[in-house]
Amino acid sequence: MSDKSLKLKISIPPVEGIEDIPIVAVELLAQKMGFDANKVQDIVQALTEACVNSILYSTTEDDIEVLVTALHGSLVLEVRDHGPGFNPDEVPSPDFDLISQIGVKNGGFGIHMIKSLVDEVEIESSPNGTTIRMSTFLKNSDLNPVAS
Amino acid sequence: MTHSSFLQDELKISEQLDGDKAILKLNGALSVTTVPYFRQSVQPYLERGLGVIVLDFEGVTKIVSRGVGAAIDMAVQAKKQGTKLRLEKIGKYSRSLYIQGVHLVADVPELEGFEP
Repeated sequence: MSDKSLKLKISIPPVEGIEDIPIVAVELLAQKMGFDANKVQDIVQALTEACVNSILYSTTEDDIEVLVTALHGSLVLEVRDHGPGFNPDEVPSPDFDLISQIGVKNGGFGIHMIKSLVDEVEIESSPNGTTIRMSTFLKNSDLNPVAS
Repeated sequence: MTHSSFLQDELKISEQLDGDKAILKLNGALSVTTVPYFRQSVQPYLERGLGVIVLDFEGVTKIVSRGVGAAIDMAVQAKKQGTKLRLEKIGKYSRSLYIQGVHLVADVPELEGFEP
């Protein structure tokens, strides 16, 4: 792969199920970059969570933007929505002792999952929308044996 | 506003009863759209007082954290009623299920000794 970055921008309306389109594109890109199957799945899962949250909390019909930047050795995904925003610092970490007793009841742990699946996560949020940026770095241990 | 579309995910659940064990095979997406159906479909089995309920994930094509959360709720309810909830054939979703701690409440053979 050359050192020049490759950029993709996919706009999707905030409707359920459409997230599969950018997800499939990113899955193929990650495979082509040489990420191994486990890392590709991590990337797919993180993007799924980010897109689903953006769709779920959209309050307008404005498109959600998925920006993909593939660099030599890294894949950066940005999901930008026009939802009401949230304070990322107020999202609690899961309390597994409590969950074991009473369950989850509502929702899941989307942000927790994203943070666990990719190498870096940055969240910018305001009442005008949220951008979540997820970076995954291509390490030797993540290389697909076939691609490498 | 509505978020629904003709692209909505689908989930089908087929059952196989074997004594006090029910095997529920999931086929399709375990997504925000299908989680209510997932909960409604499994609930009657949770209320039957069965020994084991197996959720077979082999046919799952997509999973979101809410779907995992629903499985956790089922496992907690099952445990209180003396039923064992087991997740089988989780395959590529192992890491996602592990991160959400499903193995802490449900029987997940593939996560025994799992190192993320």
